[in-house]
Amino acid sequence: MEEFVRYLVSLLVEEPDKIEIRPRTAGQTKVYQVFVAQRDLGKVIGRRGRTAGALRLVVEAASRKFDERATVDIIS
Amino acid sequence: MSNEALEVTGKSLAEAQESAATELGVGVDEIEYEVVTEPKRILGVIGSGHYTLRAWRKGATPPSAPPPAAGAAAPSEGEDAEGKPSVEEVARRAQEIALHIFSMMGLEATAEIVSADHDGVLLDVKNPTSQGLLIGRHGDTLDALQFLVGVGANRGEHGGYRVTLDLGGYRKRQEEKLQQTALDTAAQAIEAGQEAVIPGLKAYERRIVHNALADRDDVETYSEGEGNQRQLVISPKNLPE
Repeated sequence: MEEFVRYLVSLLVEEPDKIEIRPRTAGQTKVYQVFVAQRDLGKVIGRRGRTAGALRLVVEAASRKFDERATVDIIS
Repeated sequence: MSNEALEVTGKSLAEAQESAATELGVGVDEIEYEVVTEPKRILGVIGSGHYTLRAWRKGATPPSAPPPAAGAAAPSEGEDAEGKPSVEEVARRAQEIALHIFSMMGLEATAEIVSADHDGVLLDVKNPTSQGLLIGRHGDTLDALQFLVGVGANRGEHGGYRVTLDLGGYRKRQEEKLQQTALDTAAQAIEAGQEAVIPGLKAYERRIVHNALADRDDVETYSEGEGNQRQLVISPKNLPE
């Protein structure tokens, strides 16, 4: 799952080697914290949060496929 | 593709432009527009109010263009991104990205490039097992997948080629249903002699309805309202006063 999140984020950024994914657990939910280079932050969030929202939906759908509950949190 | 001009409103100029581009079915840099109303400026600061734009597809002559309002801003020229990848290249990347995403989700899938031309790329992914999961509520998950694949295939450049991701013909079926709804609702509007509303459509769904009725001379269509409240109105022409 972590690699999946990393791949999706890599589609969006200029500096893929600066991506850091930190898995955290919050109750039943796995939260993948996403860290990217400062200049890429806007790209990952998108206008009015559109990109972040798309990322979250796809990760949540994928996690259901793996019978777990996961989401992403973009850390600024 | 519609040659109509349409009016959109947004809280910011960028928001209005984006909304116009989506409804016209083209990229933000492929529209031309004129500013109909601007937020009032108070002490040089933009105060409350909205931008209303009258927008059309670049190259199309705006039908029956009213004279521009006094003080309307000239359309800003979109920047030409240099070294843009070809549409074939974007299609190939989109296919690769989509297949990679599906394989990482543990899903077997095939992805067929249905078309790749100046209108953009249409990719149809076929996966036999998890259609419902991948489409999501009202197509939301498919829209999200399409968005990420589109950004990735254009390498994050804005104003690249539009990438449409279909899943086993789902979008095509939805489009046909919506075209039928458009015809039925237009018939109702004419029969009743009053405007009929189709609420709850996404921007690209409103575009399908606009296009389905664009050639009709007995009805016209427009959208009104903001954000989630935006709805499509079908209005019979020659309504008795």
